[in-house]
Formats: sequence, structure tokens, C-alpha cells
Amino acid sequence: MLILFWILALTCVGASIAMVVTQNPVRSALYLVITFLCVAVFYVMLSAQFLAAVQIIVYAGAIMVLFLFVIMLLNLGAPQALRERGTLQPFFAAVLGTAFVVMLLLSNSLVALSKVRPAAPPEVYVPLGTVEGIGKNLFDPKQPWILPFEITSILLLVAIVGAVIMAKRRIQDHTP
Amino acid sequence: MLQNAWLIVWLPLLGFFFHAISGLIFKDRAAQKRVVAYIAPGVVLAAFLVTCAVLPEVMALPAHRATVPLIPGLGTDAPWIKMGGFQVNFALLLDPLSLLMALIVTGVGGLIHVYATGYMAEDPEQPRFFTYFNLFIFMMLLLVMAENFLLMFVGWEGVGTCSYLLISFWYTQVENAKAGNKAFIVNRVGDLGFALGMMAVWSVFGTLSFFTTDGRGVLDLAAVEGGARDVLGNPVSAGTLTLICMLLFVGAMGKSAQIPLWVWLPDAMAGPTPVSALIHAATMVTAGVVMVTRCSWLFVQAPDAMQLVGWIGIATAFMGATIGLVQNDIKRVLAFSTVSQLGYMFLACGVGNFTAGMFHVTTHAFFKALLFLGSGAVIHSMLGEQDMRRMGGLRKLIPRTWLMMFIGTYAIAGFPLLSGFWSKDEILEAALESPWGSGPLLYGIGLLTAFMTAFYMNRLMWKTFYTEPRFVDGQLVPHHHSNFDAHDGHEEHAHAGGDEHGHAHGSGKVHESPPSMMVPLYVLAVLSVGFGIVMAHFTGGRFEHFLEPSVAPKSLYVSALRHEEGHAPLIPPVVGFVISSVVGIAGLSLAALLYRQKMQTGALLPEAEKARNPVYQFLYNKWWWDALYERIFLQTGGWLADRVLWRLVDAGIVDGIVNGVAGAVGLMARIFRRVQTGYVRNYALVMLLGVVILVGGLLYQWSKEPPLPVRERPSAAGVQ
Amino acid sequence: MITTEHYLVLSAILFTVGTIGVLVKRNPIVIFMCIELMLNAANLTLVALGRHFGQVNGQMYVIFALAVAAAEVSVGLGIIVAIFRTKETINIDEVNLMKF
Repeated sequence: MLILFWILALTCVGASIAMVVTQNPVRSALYLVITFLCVAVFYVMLSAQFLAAVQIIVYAGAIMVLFLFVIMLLNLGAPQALRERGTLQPFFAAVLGTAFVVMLLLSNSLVALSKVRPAAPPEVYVPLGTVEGIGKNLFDPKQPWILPFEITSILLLVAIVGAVIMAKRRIQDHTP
Repeated sequence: MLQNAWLIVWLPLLGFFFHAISGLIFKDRAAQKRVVAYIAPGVVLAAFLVTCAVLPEVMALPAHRATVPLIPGLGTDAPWIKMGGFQVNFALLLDPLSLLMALIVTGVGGLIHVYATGYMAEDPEQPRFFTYFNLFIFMMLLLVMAENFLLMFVGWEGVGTCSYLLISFWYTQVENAKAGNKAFIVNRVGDLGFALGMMAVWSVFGTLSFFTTDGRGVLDLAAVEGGARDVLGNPVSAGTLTLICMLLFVGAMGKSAQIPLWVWLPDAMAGPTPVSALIHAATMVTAGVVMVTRCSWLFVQAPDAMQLVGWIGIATAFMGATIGLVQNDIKRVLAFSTVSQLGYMFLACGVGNFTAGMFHVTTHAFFKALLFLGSGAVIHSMLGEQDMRRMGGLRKLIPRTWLMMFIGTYAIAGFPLLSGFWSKDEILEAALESPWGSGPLLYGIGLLTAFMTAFYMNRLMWKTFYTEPRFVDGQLVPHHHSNFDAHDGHEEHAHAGGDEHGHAHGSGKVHESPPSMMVPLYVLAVLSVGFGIVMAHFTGGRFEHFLEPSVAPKSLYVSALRHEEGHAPLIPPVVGFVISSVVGIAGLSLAALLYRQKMQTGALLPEAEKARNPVYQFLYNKWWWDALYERIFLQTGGWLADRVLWRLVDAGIVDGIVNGVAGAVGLMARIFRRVQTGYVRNYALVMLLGVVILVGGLLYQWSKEPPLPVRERPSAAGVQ
Repeated sequence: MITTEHYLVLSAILFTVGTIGVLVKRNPIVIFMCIELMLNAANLTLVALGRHFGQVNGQMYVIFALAVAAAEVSVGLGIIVAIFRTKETINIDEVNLMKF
């Protein structure tokens, strides 16, 4: 298990770094898909099977397709077009990013999760993220999820309408 | 009747309201003036009658004192101001002192009102004049009859306002407006002293009422056996009392024209002559004396303040008399005489004989009003001429006016048995017996002043009435640009034509004044002659006994300072009478003697000599007081205002701060607007910086104090 | 064995990589991708901690975050398309109307 984790983790971080470094947006998108897939495997390892499936279907599938579609639509092929010019932005970004990650790691050691409560051994199967478990919990009247769930549906509707409005051509553009 | 005492104050107020709106009621100016001329004296004389009716009732009370409501229908404790423990009531205090002053104000004031109906008959602004005049009477009555310091202060400020309005009554002449300003501004200094004194009184005694029924009034507490007590019952230190009294006396200085705040009074003669007679001679200027007398219980326990009062008084008396010696304007002579006589009154207060001071207030009200009204009649006869150098020989032309002026002159000069003699003699006697020592010195200066008084008054008579006429053949040219009493009725004849003026004013002849002006003179003349002898002599000190309930007894301080038992007066009263008489007659005679030799010119010194003589110049220019004030306050103040306050403080500091702040903000904006690069990624970078700082701070805190252990929610339903 | 800390460190690294990507990239589409990466890192944390405490609530949050991310991407890409239409570019440094 540990070996699997390390392989996946390195793949995941490497793919994400490659996504940032590459100049071609299509490649970025593909590297991101790799990252998403790795995360999906982590979900399975964390006994979140349902989420893993959703991650692959929604993220790696729908959202990434949307990205690629827009990239193709706008025809941003030329990699040099958006090359960085010499500013201090990357330098400050690197400094702050390093500081940020160091602090996040520090916070891990400060909190010392294992002392609060030992984790269940990963070998032990915990029926946490099955479709049944998620569904029962989501629609459990004693849990506060029903209302947010309904609101999410409205949010998605609004997003659909918004996206249509944003992307559609103006009327006057039609009539020269 | 006692409960209707509010009428005394209200009648003039109603008159004021009526005059103020009379222009709306009457379309015809002539009819308006006729009605106003009846209403204005009418309300004042009615108030006088009410006062006369109230007087015996008050004197019948055991304490000779009554507090009555000011607002009819309300109680005496109807609050005007009420804040926590601080309460000021709308109430009037009726006691011998306030009633005496009410009688003077309404009585003499009523006579002057009658006189003014004649004097102002031709003035198209006569209704406005009487509006102010009645308002003045109201304010003055409020001042003298107030039950507490604050209400007194209202009257105090009110008479100041009326004084200002009336001095600059003929406001089209800039001199008059300036004189009004001067009076008002100089009085502000004194008023500040009064206000501070009032606050000091409140902080010590916890009230502003003079007397209260439960014995917690200021004067109740001050009169406690064994020394004044403050509101908590502790003895009040002499220093505190001295401070209070000195502050109050500063107020009195301003109102009563004492050194160093006297300079406004001579200029106040710019108003119409009835104003000079009523406000600047008979009533308002005595307010300071009344206030000091009212607070006599405080003053007698503050010997230092008393001495100050006495010395200021005698110095003012002396200075006023010396300046009066050389003035040429008939009203100015009387104005300096007033300053001088007010000094006498304060001398009396300063040596502890408050009743003598009030006696002089009373007699002075009579003879000074007589003199002013008489001089007004002279001016009226001379078509506005006020300069005595252009008079002379008027005795034959206006004999009745001469007689009145003659009586007034002899009364003020201290001619034996006339009013002024009695009151002045009493003051001089008290000064000689001064409990603070140096009595003979005060007495000597007082006598010298009395001598000068007699001299300059008879000088006035000689220059005006006896010497050869210095105008051509009884024919007068209407004189418009005189300094003060520009009787500008003439200019107005064109559109005020058809006015009632029975006497031939246009003829240019010197003539007697109409009866409305002469009758008040007769009454005042009788009082000037007879009041003193009746009150002081025939009825055996009646006046002193009358005022006794209102003033502090002499025993309070005399016994403390007089060591010797059975002290005999330095000179017996009879000798004092003789000395006073001799001095008065000597002054009168010397003037007569000197001027008899100068019948032609009516002047002792030729003009060229006057210009060279430093003493003359010193006196003629009022001891250089005005120049001194000009130098100190106007020039220094002007420099201060211009260079320091305007250029430095206002333009430099205040504007500098304002502009500097604005400039600094602008500069900062120019610098910091660079932050708005417009590059979204820069904004994101700054956001990250903020996150790093926040998280860093949080971690720093956690590293010192670990976070609470994470707890499992009891209701958390896992699927397990 | 794999502890929860392993996952937390991993997600921290992923999150930071995403952050730096947002800061340095000038193509808004790639920036969006970086944002998605950050969201995923956060999701991973939630799931890991939920597992640690044996609770399903962590996964609940992830479901909602997913829905929000989907909505955000659709609107965001719509905006990008609209910007491209008007400015003929999508270089984020040329969209700087809010400059001083």
C-alpha cells in the first residue's frame, strides 16, 4: 500500500508541476487529467468509492472536456504568444509559495492528529463512502444536507443560464 | 396687591410689545406717534402706582421681604432653569432695596418718559425710541427686583442692550454707532466679571437665589451668625469671599463706569438727551451700586474687596471731577459729573455705609435727571447746539429752564440743605470713619472732589446762562454736525410735515420748551430740593431705617476692626456739615468770581493758551485714558489679530493643517495608486501574502498555545 | 503504513503548486485549471480527515465542492469566451481596465 501511495503521490505532484510549467494549454489540460486520476485513486484508498467515481466522471470527464473544448474554440495554439516576460511576479510567487507550503507542513506537526485520535488502519475496510452510505447520509432528516443539496441544484441551473448568456453572441454581432 | 406685583414688571413689557407692533396697527405715522406718546409714559407711571401700592404691604411684613412670582399664575418656585441640583426660578424679590429702586426707575423714569414725549415729538422714529425706552424700564426693573443672580443678569444684559440701542439711536451718524459699540464692548468686560462671580457664588453656595424660605439662599448663608457658610455648612474662607466680591465688582465697574471701565460713559452721551438722563445718569449706571448693596452681606466679610471698592470709587470720583472742569460740551460736563458721583456711591459702599450709597443713588437720580433734562431743554432751545462756547446769556431768554438748571446745580454742588448736600455729606462722614483706616485721606480727596464738583457745575451755569450771548442776536443757525445730539428732526420736516409741533421751531428763535418737557423738570426740582432734608433730617434718618432690612449691619465688621471702645467720631456731625457747606459754597463762588471777569468770552483761558497748557490738555483728553486704551488694546489687539491670529495662526497653522492634510492625502494617493496595477495576478499575489501572514500568525499563536483537541461530535452519525 | 499526515502533506504540496500556477500563468484557462487543482487538493484533505475521524461528512463537503466547481468552470469559461470576443485576446495582463 505504502509503495502504491508513493508512486501515485509522485505521479500526482509531478503531473501538477508539469501542468504549471508547460506552455501549451492542451498539454496542461492533459497533465491535469493525470492528476485528477491519481486523486481518484487516493479517494478509493480512503474508502470514498463513490467520490472516486464522481471524480473521474465529472472532473476528468466533463470538466476537462469543457476545458479542451474552449481551448480548441479559441484556438490558442501558439505557445509563444503568452510567454512570461521578465517581471518579479514569478520570484515573489515562488517565495510566497515556499513559505506557504512550509507553514502548511508545520501546521501538520503542530496539530499532531495521531495524538488526538488514532486513524483506523488503512487495511481495515471501512464502509464509509459507498453509494449507500453517502445516499443515506445525504437524505437523512437528522443531517443538515437536504437543503444545501436542493440549493446546489438551483446553483447549477443558474450557472447553466449564466454560461449561456456569457457565451452567446450579441444580437448586433449577427446583423452587420 | 402683593400677588399682583408682577404687574410692575409686566406693564413696561406690554408697552414694549405694543410699541413694537404699533407700526402694524397704525397706518398713519402721526396717529401712531400720538398714541405711543400716551402709552409709553402711561405704562411706566402705572407701574409706579403699583409699586407705591405694594410698598406698604411689604413693609408691613415682619421680615420686610417678600418673594412673588414673576409669571402670573405660577408659584414663586416656578423653575426657569432646572438641571439636577441647579434651579433658577422665575420670581421677584420685594424688599426695601428693590422697591426703592423700582420707585426710582418707574418714578424718575416715568417723568423722563413724559419729558421725552415732548423732546422726541418731532422725530419720525419716535415709536422706535419708546419701544427701546419701555424695554429698558422692563429690563431695569428685572435687574433690581430679580430674586436671583441669574435673573438679575438677564436684566443686567438687557439694560446693556437697550443702552446700546439708544446710544446709537440716530444710527445714521457713524459717531453714534461707534459710541454704542464702545459702550457695549466695554460693558462686556464687566459682564464677564459678573458672570464669573455668579459662577463662583454658585460653586460656593450652591444656589443663585438671594433669599429662600428655607434659609438656603446666598445671602441667607452669608448672613449666618459667625460668618458665611457654604452649601455644606462649612465656613467660607475670606479669600473665597474676596474673589467672589472682586469678580462681582468688576461687573459693577463696567455697568457703573468706574476706573478702569469708565471710558464708555462720556461717549454714551451720543444718544438723545432723555436717554442720557434715564439710562446714563439716573438708573442703569447705578445698577453696580445696587448690586454691591444687594451683596452687602458678602462684601462686608471681604475687607480687601471693600477697600478696593472704596479706593476705586474715590479715584473715579476725583478723576471724573477733574475732567469735568475743562469740558465744553454741556452734556459731557454732566457725563463726567455722573462718573464722579458714581465714584462717591462706591466710596460709600467701600467704607461700609451702603445706605449712604443708596441715598446718593436716590438723590443723584433726582438732580442728575433734572440737570440732564434741563440741559436737554437748553439744547432743544438752541436747536441742537451743545457747545457751551456758543451759548451764553440764556438766562433772560429761557428763564424757567435757567431756574431748573440752577436748582440742579446747587443740589449737586452740595449747597446746604439741598438733596445732594445731605447724601454727599453722609458719604464723606462715612469715609472719614472708614473702618479700614486712611479715613482722613478719603475724606480729603472727597472734599476736594466736592469742591471741584461745585466749581465745574457753576462754570457750566456761567458759560451757558450768565455770560454774554455768543450767538448773534438770538438768531440760531440750525446746527447739524454737533458731536452728539443731532436733533435731526429738521431734515425730516419735509416728509413728516404736518407733525404736531406747537412751538415755533422753524423760527430760529431761542425759546422755552413745551410744557410736556417743563413739568417733569418742576417735579424733579421739588424732589431735588426737598427729598434730602425730609429723608435725612426731618424724619430722623428715615431712609437708613427703611433700607436696614436689605443691607448688612455695620456691626459685622466695625466691631471686628475697631479696637477702641466707645469710639467718638473724629469730627462732630455739625462740624462736618459746616465743612461740607463751606466747600460747596466755595466752589460755586470761585467759579462765579472767575467767570464774572470773563463775561465777554465765557472762557478763562484763550484757545491758544489751552493748546499749550499740558495740564489742560491732560484733563481735556480725559487723562489720556482713551489714548492709552487705543495704544494697548486697539493697536496691540490689531497687531495680534493681524500678525498673530490671522497670518500666523489662521493662515499658517489652521489653514496649514487643513491644506497639509489634504496635500498629504493627495501625495499618499499618488504613491499608493501604483498598487492598483490592473494586473489580476498582482492582486492574487497580494492575497496570498495576506494568507501567509494570517496563517503565520495563527501558527505562531498555536506554537505557544496548542489548539483545543479535536472532539468528535456526539451526534455525528458515521456509517460505521 | 500510510497515515493521514501523508495525505495532508500531499494535498499541501498540490495546493501550493496550484497557487503558484495561478500566480505565474497568464492564460486564464490554465489559471482555471490551477484553481481546479487547488480545489482537488482541498477535497483530498476533507476526505482524508473524514476517514481519520471515521465520518462521512468530509465526503459530503466534497460533493458540494464538486458541484460548485462545475458551476464555476462553466461560468468562468463563459466569461473567458466573452472576453475573447471583445478583446480578441485572453492574455490576462491585457485585461487591465482597473488600472490606476
